[in-house]
Amino acid sequence: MMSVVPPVWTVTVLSFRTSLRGIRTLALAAFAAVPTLILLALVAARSAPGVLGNEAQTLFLILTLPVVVIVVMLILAVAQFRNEIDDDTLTYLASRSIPRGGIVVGKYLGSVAAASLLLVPAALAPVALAVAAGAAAPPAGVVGALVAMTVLACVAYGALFLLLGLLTSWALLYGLLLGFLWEELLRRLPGSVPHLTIAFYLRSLAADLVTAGPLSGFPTAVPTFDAVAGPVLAAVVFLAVAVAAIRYVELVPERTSA
Amino acid sequence: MTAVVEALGATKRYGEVLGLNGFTAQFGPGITGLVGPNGAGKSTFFRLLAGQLRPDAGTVTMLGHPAWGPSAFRRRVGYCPEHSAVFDWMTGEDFVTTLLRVDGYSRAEARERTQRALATVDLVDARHRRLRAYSKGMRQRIKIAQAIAHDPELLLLDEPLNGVDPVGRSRLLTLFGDLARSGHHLIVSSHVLYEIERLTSEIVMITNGRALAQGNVHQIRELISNRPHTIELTTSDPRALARALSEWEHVTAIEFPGPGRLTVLSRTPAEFYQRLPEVVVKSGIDVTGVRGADDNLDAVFRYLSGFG
Repeated sequence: MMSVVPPVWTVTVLSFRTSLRGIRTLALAAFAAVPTLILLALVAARSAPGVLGNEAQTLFLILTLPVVVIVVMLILAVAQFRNEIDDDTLTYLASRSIPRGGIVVGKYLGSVAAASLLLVPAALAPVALAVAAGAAAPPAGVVGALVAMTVLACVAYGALFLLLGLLTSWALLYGLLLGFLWEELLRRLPGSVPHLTIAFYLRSLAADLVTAGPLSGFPTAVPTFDAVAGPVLAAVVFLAVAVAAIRYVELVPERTSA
Repeated sequence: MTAVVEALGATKRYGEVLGLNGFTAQFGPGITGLVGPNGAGKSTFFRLLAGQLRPDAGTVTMLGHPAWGPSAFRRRVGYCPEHSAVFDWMTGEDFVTTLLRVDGYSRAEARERTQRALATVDLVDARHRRLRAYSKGMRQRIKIAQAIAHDPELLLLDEPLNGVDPVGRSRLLTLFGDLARSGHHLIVSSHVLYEIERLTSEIVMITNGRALAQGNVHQIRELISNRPHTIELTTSDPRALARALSEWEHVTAIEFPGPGRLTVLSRTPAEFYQRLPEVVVKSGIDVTGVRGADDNLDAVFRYLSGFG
């Protein structure tokens, strides 16, 4: 019996390459650079170096993580199925011997890798720019926290948005609602309700890893392991649902006729 | 007949539009043509076979496996879709190799098979060009290349000659014939009937999502008893021949379409062909050509679909 790993890996590479093609990718890269551009503007405005270090972290918390990461991941993950269904190119994978679940896993890994490639540099660039402009070296764990939060966000949101792209042609709209309304509103509610958001775990992780500055300011009782396990578990669940769902989903454009 | 592909009451709806309506047909070994006008349901059937659509009712099986189900057997199937969409940022070589890798072939074997498939469809020189730069005909050929590269037992070709130039068409028709002779099974759809006719006499006719007829086109024609067969004769003396033939009871009409030509409508063509030599010998009329003018796919389709 042939191993399913090489075909899944081929789909991963195909998805990765597809994700990083075209004007859309350039637009996403430009969008991901917005926090860096804002910090560049602060540098140009001769802000105090001490302020720049904090601003870099604050920009990550108020712009990169809740907006840039979600938008970039949403567009890349939804495109994995929705664009290929609409373009009718999914035919070529669907008519091959690879199990359908393998297509889901391959596309997921490819889209997360592509998004991470765009977003991790975008997350680190403002901090690097602040240091280059004279700010003190960031507190211990900042770089690790930024990378971990960005990658974990891609892992969790990527699975959610991929599932939406598989299930509905309204995936972008639902993704925006979940990414902004659900995540932002529930995160601010009292009690255990914030535990239902991915952002809660990501911010908890930052507070665990960073000792000073805005990243450390999230009041959390969640240990590091739980903060990592939360998004990973969410990703596994969304991915499992997608693997199960694709067995029932018809992979043709809505305009299909006889 | 052992069915390679079988549809039993397959029904597929797109909202209120019926793509297939209780389609029942068997596709045997060798080449079978799936013919019908645009919108008849051919592509819906192919999408069911490709596993992209699930039948709302009925079943569709290929090589003994349900078309909607586990995909492992699909390594024995090649599919060339009707639409011209491809990953247009890829090169031709990359496209075929990648899809072979998706099927589980090693890198080396995928490359070797890709070269062979590209050579078969005459795209070796264009293998490094991006697919977006391919003409429509070249796209058709690269789609065929990816369908045949893994040497599948069953080839599903949905309008494979669309957009291909005349020389390319001729080469592809030869290729399909060669594949069938080497033991492959092909289901080829087309709304251009003469193309199918060049390939095979075994057909399934589809219209409005239903199978209109299936089998050997000549046998189907024989069964259409309410339509006299048209037979064209070339002779040096049409009038004398017409006089002789007009005495036959089964000849319903005789026409003179042009100099030296005679068209006869006969209810029993077998009897006509049997008795014709006798008349020729007796009368001494020189008959240089005899041809069944509507013993072909086009006429059969027109008669059955009510357009003739």
